[in-house]
Amino acid sequence: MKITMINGSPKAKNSASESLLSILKGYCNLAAPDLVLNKMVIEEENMAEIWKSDALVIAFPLYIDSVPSHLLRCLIQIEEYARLHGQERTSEETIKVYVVINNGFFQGKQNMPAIEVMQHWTKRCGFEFGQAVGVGGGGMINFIKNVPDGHGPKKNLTLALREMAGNILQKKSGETKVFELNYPAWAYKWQAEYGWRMAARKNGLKSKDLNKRA
Amino acid sequence: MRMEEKKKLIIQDGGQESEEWIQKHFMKQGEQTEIITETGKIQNCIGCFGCWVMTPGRCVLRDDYNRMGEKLGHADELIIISECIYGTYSPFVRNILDRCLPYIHPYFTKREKEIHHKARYQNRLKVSVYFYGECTPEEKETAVKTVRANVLNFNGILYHISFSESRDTILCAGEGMQ
Repeated sequence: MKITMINGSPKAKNSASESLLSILKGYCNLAAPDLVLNKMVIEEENMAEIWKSDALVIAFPLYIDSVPSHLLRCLIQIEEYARLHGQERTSEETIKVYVVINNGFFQGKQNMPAIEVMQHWTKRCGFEFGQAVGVGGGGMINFIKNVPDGHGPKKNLTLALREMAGNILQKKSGETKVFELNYPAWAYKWQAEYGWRMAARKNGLKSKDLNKRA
Repeated sequence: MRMEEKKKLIIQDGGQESEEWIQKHFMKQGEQTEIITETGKIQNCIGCFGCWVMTPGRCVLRDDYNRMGEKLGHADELIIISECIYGTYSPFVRNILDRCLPYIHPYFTKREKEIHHKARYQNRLKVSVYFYGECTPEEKETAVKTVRANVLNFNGILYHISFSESRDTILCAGEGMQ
């Protein structure tokens, strides 16, 4: 079975989506590099890879409550390709779609509109929806990489991604899971805001400059 | 005393050829209106957060769309005219909304029991969205959820959402949800 992990973050490296796919790949025992869709157009060879897949696992960050615009353009391109080539695959060979979304807020449920967008896209392509995982606290994901699986802030995340990995390997569907990292909201807020102040200072700004209005 | 001119921002995906029609139907006397149209190259938000920590309030990408934060910040009303695709906006309108990140502040606040970003500006945008194009009832439901989430994040006030089959029938779509 060909499983293609798609990193839909526009960030070139160190994205939370990359980290989430890396965890999933570990659970699925996959070593293949991610297919990175960080441009507005999918190149021909990448489209061929997508089309050869049995399962697509698409990870991306929530942008203004939805799918980042470059990825939306790519999704439309895949739908157009699927319409042209749909007859090449039988219904048993339908591509199964799994989605992993992270948002920078705290609550995982804020990913729901984007999850639904991915479900509608899947249907329009003639694919089958497998499962969606929507996690909050995206800003923290890269910082908890080394926390052992199933422990501390990673508890909910480990459970959800392990379940998803099992479903991917068996090409099964599963329930949508939206959740928070196991971490207090107040601490996430405090750390995020401290991080913005530090980043501003690194750029030669003062903390109060964060409030600037152009 | 002279009343201050209302400022209206219109984001639309119909290209420059639609501007005349928009001027005719969406602009009123005594209002200052700006239309955001796809005129050339637009870059996608790259998630660098430069608009928060390098040049707060302004996008660091160099193209015609890097001042969306301040345009929203100085407007009273936002009108979006967009094709509805999979229950969200068209790629151009989504692209513009992604580039509106400098409108909001990196710090968090609570709204309707959820964590959202603080407002950078004091204005409260009156938001109307006119969707058009063929879409399923489920896609419409998702589009309404998306708009509600956007309005909450932008600390705006939702005024209108409607769906019509084509751009030509937008104004016949009734009052929609007000």
